[in-house]
Amino acid sequence: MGRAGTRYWIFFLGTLFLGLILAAVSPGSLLSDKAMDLAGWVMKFPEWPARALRNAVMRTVDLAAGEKALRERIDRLEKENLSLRGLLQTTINFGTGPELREGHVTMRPPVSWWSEIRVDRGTKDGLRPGMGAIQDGALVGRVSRVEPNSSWIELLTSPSLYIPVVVEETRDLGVLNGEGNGNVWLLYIPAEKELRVGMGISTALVSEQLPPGIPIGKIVAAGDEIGGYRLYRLALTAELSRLYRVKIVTGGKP
Amino acid sequence: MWVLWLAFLARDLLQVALSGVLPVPDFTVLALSWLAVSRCRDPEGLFLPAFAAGLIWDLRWTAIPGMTAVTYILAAATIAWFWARMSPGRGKPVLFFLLVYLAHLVVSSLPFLLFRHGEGGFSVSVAQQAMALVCVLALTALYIWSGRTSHE
Repeated sequence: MGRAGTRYWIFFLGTLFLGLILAAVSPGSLLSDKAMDLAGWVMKFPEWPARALRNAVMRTVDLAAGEKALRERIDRLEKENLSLRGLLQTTINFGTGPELREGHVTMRPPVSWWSEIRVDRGTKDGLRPGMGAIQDGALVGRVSRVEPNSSWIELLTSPSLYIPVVVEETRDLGVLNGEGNGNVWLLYIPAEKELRVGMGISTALVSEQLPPGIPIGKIVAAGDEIGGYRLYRLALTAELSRLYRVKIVTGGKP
Repeated sequence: MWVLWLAFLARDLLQVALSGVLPVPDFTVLALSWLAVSRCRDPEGLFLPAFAAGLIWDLRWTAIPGMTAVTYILAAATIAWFWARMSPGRGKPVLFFLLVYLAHLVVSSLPFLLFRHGEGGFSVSVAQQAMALVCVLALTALYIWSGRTSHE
């Protein structure tokens, strides 16, 4: 084997093994998260024209369809609705009151497709862990980690996220939990309660960061009874398969 | 090597601009295939840029650092090895087309095959391959036009 052959194998095997080791050990590590945030921040600059073009086209399409005014009205009503629901259902002090801050989804890792997304808003925009994220007025998840310029949102379909919820028609309290494959379940409803398909589910009072009453979805089927409690399968109102923009419910107490 | 980075940037910008509208073919692997064919006798210079491009892509989009990098390195090595062992002949444009398209098919389908879900799932994956077909045809036309072979 000549010098060129040796050089070939050094470069080939060196890069290949480095790639394999990285792929095996880095997903989910803190260092990898930091590197991804850095890559997202650096790429924000060359990507700016594409993002601006996309936003301009979307605005033009909205305008052409006569939807701009309607969207602004929906935004205003969403905000007003959040405030009213908060006032109606609790007397807690939300500080400055709930505000909505729009963020673009900059990453949705295939390996954790039903668990988390990253958005281009961070502590600099007032985001904190625990804040809710909504799409068209319906909850999609909660902020789990925050960086200065980006945040990770744990989705409702994540198996490690538990959200206290209320059945709107009966006011029964339960806990929502994902299965990690797109399915979402309502837990801890006593078996003697007979909830019906179609009943609405919304957030219950959990903390001073997630306002109560944010719509989540509807009951679509009754599941097994375990230890005196019945499971109910839910259909989410938010479309998690078309998640490109979300609004973060900011404000409230830390 | 600027072709590789230009292709990488084009793919990244299109991914941002067309996310949720149209699937974007993997221009990086197409450029890498072109370079592997043109440098099939000494492809070692491709491995580091391929690794870097794949790693940056993973950090930006897939969250599995190293996955795309490994597929890029394997694609470059395989194409260069195969091309270097072919005798010059008239069928080379057809083989070029098949090699490049196969490389794109394997590399871009890997996330779908591994995780079985993603943006739009199977239908989007098929649409991406259909768009890649147009790009590979254009690249083959460019190959014929340039008359570039490793043996000539």
